[in-house]
Amino acid sequence: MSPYRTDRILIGTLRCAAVVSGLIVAVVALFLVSESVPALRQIGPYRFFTDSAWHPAPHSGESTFNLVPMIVGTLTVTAGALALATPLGLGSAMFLRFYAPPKLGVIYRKIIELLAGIPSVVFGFWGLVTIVPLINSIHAPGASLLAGICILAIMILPTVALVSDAAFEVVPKEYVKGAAALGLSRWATIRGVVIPSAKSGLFTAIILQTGRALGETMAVLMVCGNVVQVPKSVFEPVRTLTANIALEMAYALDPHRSALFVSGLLLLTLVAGLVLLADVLSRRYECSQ
Amino acid sequence: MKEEKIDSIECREKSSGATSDADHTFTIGELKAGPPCCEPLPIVEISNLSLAYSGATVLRDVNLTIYRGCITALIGPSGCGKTSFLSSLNRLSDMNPRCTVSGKIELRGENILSPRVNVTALRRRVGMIFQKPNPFPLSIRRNIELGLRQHRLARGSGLGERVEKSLRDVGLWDEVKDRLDSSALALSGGQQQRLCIARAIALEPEILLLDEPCSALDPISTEIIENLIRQLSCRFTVIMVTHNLGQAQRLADFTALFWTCEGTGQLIEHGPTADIFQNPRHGLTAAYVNGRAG
Repeated sequence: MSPYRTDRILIGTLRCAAVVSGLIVAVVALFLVSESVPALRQIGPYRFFTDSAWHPAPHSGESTFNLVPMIVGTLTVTAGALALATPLGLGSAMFLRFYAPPKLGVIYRKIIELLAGIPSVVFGFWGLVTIVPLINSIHAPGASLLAGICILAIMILPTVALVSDAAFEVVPKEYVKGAAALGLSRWATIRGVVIPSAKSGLFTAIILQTGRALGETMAVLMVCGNVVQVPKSVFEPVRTLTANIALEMAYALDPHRSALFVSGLLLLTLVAGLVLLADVLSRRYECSQ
Repeated sequence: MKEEKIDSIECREKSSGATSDADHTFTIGELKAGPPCCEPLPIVEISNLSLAYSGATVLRDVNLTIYRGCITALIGPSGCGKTSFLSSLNRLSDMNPRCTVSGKIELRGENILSPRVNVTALRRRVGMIFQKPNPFPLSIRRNIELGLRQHRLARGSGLGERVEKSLRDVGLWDEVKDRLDSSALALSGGQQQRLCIARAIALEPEILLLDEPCSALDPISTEIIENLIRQLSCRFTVIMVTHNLGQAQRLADFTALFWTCEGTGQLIEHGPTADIFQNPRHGLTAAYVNGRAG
């Protein structure tokens, strides 16, 4: 124990902060589980995957709870957005760090930071009035998987760029100097030295963005069309797990309500899986050093 | 206080230009016995080299000739422009956009400061080793291969041979041959520095620039690196910055003393190491090598 009173107070405060933060995660997870249990008991975990459709509260007949279309919707929107945003984000971070003149770099970074700060509902609104009509002019109905992918890609792009930029920034200058002294070209330096040394940070950037994309609700809800179906092309509307919760939460009664909590639990599990993956990858990277 | 006093007096003595060596024809006398491979043939001729950061001159009017296969030591107190000087020789100074270099550096008759020079090719010919070992966070093999691939010096199985050869040259092969694919960062400091030398000499440069290559190492590693530099000096022309006067005496055929006069670095005296240490012609040199100033 520290002999100083201020130290003891500080340690106590910090402990409290840590306990509160940890508790919040635990409480939310517990709540999700406890709310999901009735549905998992009554309906059983398998019917979420094997039922004929998602009709949780039909006027007549039996309720069905197939989550597969929503899971597919979430995964395809996320994967598409990542496929677009990762190369763009990495590319702009590379440009910023290694090619841009310093003054332009500063302005460019500010713009990207601004882009990262735009609220998702604004993106959704903008998507609804520009991207959706644009896609509609190519292939009806416009509100589609593709629209969701585009909006989500634009939304996660700035964070991919900023986190990758930060990962490039901490690459020791000695490496870059060493590479230059060997006569490596700029691209050979980036590919051979900078990216391998920034690997861990770049993985983290991508995985964090995957988590964000999985969880994004508002913008996606506004442009995706929200039809519960497994899309056959990028022009068909889809509904994501998050949109499903947001759309139906207001009127859902048990067991429908509980089924929505199951989809929330599913999302939490996906994100937790990603965090674990990030951890394993960065640890493996450290070992290989 | 005392040091400053010596500094100002000696600098004034020089700038008054009373003696013949006050000019830029420094004391390159007869070449004395060095290793037989140190030939009296100029390979780099530096004339009127000045270097400034954001307009502030840090090095003024350096005139110096470097001889082929010899070891030239650059000595002098910290901040007198030795490292800046070194980094202009492979144009690494280009990396700092605020740094401007003027004058002439002729490598085998070609002015390497010319904007037409292919910097990538130049840096293959003029290798550099830094104060702090800086292997890339990659495998030992990959550290050496990167440069070889860039300059298309080897491909396929040739790569492996070049890697082995350069590791043998620095005496690292037996220590690392079983773990070529493990990380270079797991090596000790001395081994890392030898790896850095290996990846530089794998490119078969003509000149090796060493910026205090031993100052971050323990005495045993230092001895190994010193022996290595001595062996390599026949194949390469070596220019090294050192703060260790003993090291300069042990290794260098020629020694050049840099000093800060009125805020800018200047070359004070250059000549065979024995002369610099035993018969210095400039008062500052005498004071510095005898530990009275600097």
